Amino acid sequence: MDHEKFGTFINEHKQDIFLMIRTRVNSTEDAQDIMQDVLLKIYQGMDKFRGDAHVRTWIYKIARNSIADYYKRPWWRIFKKIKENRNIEAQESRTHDHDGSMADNPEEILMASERKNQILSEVNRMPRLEKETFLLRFMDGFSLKQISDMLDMNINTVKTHLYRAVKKAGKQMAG
Amino acid sequence: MNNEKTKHPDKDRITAFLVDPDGVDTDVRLHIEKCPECLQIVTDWNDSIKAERDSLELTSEKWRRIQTAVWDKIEQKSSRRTIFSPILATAALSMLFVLILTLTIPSRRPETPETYTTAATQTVQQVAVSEDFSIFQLADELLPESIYEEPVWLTLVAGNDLNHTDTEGLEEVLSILNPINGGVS
Repeated sequence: MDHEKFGTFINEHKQDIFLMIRTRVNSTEDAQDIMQDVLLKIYQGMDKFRGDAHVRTWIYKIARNSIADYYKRPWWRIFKKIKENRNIEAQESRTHDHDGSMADNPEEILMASERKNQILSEVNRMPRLEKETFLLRFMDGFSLKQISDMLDMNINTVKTHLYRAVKKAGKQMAG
Repeated sequence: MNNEKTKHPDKDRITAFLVDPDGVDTDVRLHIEKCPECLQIVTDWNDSIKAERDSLELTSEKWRRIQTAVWDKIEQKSSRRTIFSPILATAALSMLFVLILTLTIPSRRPETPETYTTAATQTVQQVAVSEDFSIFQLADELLPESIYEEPVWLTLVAGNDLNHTDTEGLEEVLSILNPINGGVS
């Protein structure tokens, strides 16, 4: 495997890959772990990638599998990770407090975080296909045709799921 | 002005436009693209989406951490491959060699020894003669098939009427043979 080629490739796609993962998992720490796995799989698979599929479609498939694998871990590892994440968040929160840039009240911190990701909070409550079509279309920037191919779904069905998802997300924005 | 207001597409049409701008009716699309109010809705939507995307952006610090971890793993893997390749190849060849040996050399395991004894056979012989009982019936019911190859059995068969089928006293014979039967299974 050509290290230089891999380096160029991941530099070009790192934001897309991270966003693909981060919008589908609950924490930044999990997203970073999964991203490492995705990048290793890209490294291992780059020679075999023939380029007949769109490169972002190929990345999406790898990311989707890695996310699924990540959440198949034994429960004790997931709990360990949650504990680690809480510690990191607590540390970050203390740092912000010292800066005076963050409110002391945990409720306000939570509200600020929810305000920041209003749409995604709503998207996370949607049924699986509404959520997935929404993320593919608006977060990952795939075309309707690409989504239809990736999810092996009729394009009108994709539109129906998207329509419902946009309505729900729009209400959240208006509210 | 009023006329223009009535032309505003309803919420459902604007939603449909957000999903697929090319999929809505041409007049709806043209209206949305030209009407400042409708266009504002679309712009607000796009801005909100962009803000969400931006809030999740991979920071350079996070990227550095990920990149370092990935390159470390790649290095580890490639060095492990270099070290272990000859070992793995030798192990694979050894296993292949053992497999070939197992498949080509015939089994040298001794045949299972007969579980019945000559004494047991002799008891059967005595019972059969004294009770005037069918030899083959006894053999079929009480002894393993290999009894037919035993010299003592062959002698017994040679001196008897093979078609003899008298079953008189069968229960008695069986009760006498029961302890032997346990030994001849």
